[in-house]
Amino acid sequence: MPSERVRAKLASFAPLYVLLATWLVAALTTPHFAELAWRDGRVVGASVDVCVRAVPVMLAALGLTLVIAGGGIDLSVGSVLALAAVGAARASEAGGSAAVAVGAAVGLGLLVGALNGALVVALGLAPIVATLASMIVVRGAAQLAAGGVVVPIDRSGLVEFLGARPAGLPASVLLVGLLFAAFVVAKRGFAFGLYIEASGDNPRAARLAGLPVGAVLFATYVLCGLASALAGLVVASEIRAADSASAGLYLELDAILAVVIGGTPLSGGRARLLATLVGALALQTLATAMLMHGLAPHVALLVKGLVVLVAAAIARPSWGRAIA
Amino acid sequence: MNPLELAGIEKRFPGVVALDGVDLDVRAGEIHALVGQNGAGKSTLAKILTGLERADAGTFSVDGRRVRPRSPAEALALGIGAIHQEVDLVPELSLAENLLLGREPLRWWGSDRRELASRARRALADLGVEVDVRRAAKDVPLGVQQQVCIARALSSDARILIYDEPTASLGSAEVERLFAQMRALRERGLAQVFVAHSLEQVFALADRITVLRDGKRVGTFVARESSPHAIVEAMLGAALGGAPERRASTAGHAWFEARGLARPGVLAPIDFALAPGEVLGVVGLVGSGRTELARALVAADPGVHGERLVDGAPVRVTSPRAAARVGLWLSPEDRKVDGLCLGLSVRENLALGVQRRARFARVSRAEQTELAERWIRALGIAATPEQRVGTLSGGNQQKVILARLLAAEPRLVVLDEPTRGVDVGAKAQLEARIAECAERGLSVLFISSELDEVVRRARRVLVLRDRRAEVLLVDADVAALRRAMAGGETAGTAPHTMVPPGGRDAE
Ligand SMILES: Nc1ncnc2c1ncn2[C@@H]1O[C@H](COP(=O)(O)OP(=O)(O)OP(=O)(O)O)[C@@H](O)[C@H]1O
Ligand SMILES: [Mg+2]
Repeated sequence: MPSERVRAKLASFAPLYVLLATWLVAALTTPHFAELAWRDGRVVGASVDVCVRAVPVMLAALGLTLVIAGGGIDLSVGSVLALAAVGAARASEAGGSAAVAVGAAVGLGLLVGALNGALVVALGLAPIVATLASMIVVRGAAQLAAGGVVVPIDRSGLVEFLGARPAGLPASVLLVGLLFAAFVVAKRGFAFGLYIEASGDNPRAARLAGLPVGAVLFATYVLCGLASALAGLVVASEIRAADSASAGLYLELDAILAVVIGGTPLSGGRARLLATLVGALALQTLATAMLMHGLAPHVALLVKGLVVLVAAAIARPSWGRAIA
Repeated sequence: MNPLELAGIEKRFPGVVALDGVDLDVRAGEIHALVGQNGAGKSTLAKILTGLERADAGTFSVDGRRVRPRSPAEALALGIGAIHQEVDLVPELSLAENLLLGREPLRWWGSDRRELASRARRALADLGVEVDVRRAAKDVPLGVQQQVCIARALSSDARILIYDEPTASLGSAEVERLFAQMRALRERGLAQVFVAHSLEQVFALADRITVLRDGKRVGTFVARESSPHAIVEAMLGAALGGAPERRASTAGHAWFEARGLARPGVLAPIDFALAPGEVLGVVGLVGSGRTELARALVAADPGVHGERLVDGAPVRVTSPRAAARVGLWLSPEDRKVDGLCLGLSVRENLALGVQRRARFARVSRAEQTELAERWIRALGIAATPEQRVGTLSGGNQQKVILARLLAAEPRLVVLDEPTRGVDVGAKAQLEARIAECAERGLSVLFISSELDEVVRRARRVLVLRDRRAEVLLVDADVAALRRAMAGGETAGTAPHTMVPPGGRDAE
């Protein structure tokens, strides 16, 4: 029945409806929210602001989408962000170039990702336990490396590097596009996507079908570490400092929410990368609008919780129907 | 007024009409068989009866009263109990707890264990089952678990029992016991609905037979006045071609050899060799080590000892992936747990088979779809390429696994109960497809509890008993296999003597 198919197709755009609805409500209730302008060779406006502010969550959530699609979870994304930021700051403090700082951050992210992957794949720990432990340990390591202070980044090429605005758009937003494109190519252009989804759906069957399930899941954690490290770079260059105590705090929660709003089932088996980005943008639209309204923080929390519930219910994968 | 009456039942799923105006009436003291091809709608009807699905249209009455159960619990309250193919006990709980789940005898400090155990024991004794009811469900054989399901239904005063392919994972002794019980329950006046593929079983048990085809009721037949032949014709809408004849095993060199294949504590060392195109049967009672042998061959579980020789050279096989690399593939016994990614589409599940050869380069979407369409046609799978495998009927899921295996262009496939839950027409189709591949040089390790099928396909049959190789029989008949399985006389070759395929047995 074509109508069924149309309905399924329409349902798969649920995250987009959530984003549009949030944006519309925000635009209607908030003065100047919908305005865009061209100033000094850059696009400015609340919507651009939303995009820029959503970058860390978008990056981490992209990585997390792969992990969750593989049937896992990574709670350490926020801590990895902090560690990578401190790493970049320390590297540029020591006189390293932008490339060295980026290398340090990315290296740390890959390392933590590999550790997470090893704990889950080789030791067989439950992903939530393994990454909860590394969330704590890595946050500790970041604070240790920072020596208990906020490490400033002053004379670094890093800030210019990420502060650049090619084509009038912030570089950090382009970074999201780049990572997204890379993941999509890995997912669609190679068998990686099918491997992740099969491993997440039924690892036993995937293994018997000759898939390298362990290697695939390991790779998802490594990529998630990489994505979180990139988020760390963005945060560090934005505030021109690395604050090991507060950077990336609760990032894992927002990232998970973005994935859920995007309709990737938490039980694994499907990766919806674009929808995750849309989910992250919806969250940030809400946050920015509430900020512009001057809503008290506790009210903002209530509103956010409610919107998330509604969005998750709409985006709920149709096959995850409630148990009869 | 019959205990169970359905009229004009309709059920639609996206893209399919699973049931289209089905009538069914079941009398007290009757065993009513429900038969039909894979995807005919039997399970869907069973699910509607037991509250797992709701009909889109039609009437459903119990003892003349219109009902509409919305959950298994509601169905049970109406007196309808379900015995599913996948036994649904809580594995960690004891048999007694499972039996009285939700109805535990209570004391103010919690449940009364002694009362619980004695009630459970009584309920099972009523069925003639003697078992320690304190044992966890996961520790007793499937047959016993099923008895607990029946006892559970009966102890909540069920007057109507629905069995969906209850014999699919039982050994023949367990099947006999189940049938004896069902006959006893018939004497007690229960109405029983029995979904099965084996017409032998249907005719051994049923009073009347309702045939479904493509979601429609073809007719209801009185078993005594009908014949398997007539039922098959009604199921298929045409006469069944003769089953393909057994082919002589190709004379040729053994290209594959297993030496001392073993898993300590699970499987004693086993040797065998296979020639290209040969089908080697493997039989044994439940628990004799058939599935363990299948899994050991592809290293599905860790700790497998022994050597595998491919073309005379030893190969290292430490994982199913490594096995696939040398052309060894397993079709596992439990299709839902080990076989399929139920959340993925038919196309994606099939792509897994060919993807390995393409390494990490992706098989393009167009190729995947083409592949899926080709195999859907070749095996007559009732599905579309994009349909989620979890929504396929049981028999069609089995076909998807087989298609994935064959699409991978293997050299040796291990088929562990490949025709379980597959209808008669499809069985012949699958057998023919396997024979076709064998002709092109595919070797097959064919594990089945349907001995006539084994005899038809395989000339050499390895008989397992107590987790070791008992004997290797050549050109044996069903009776000889049965004797050997039970540990009777052994007129075959001792299993450790290698019989050169196409050698002694080819005369
Ligand atoms: N949840 C669902 N979504 C979509 N289609 C479904 C769903 N459940 C069943 N179907 C379809 O309904 C039809 C009937 O399925 P059903 O499971 O009742 O067949 P069956 O007669 O039990 O077959 P088998 O002998 O293979 O077990 C099939 O075409 C199946 O694909
Ligand atoms: Mg069925």
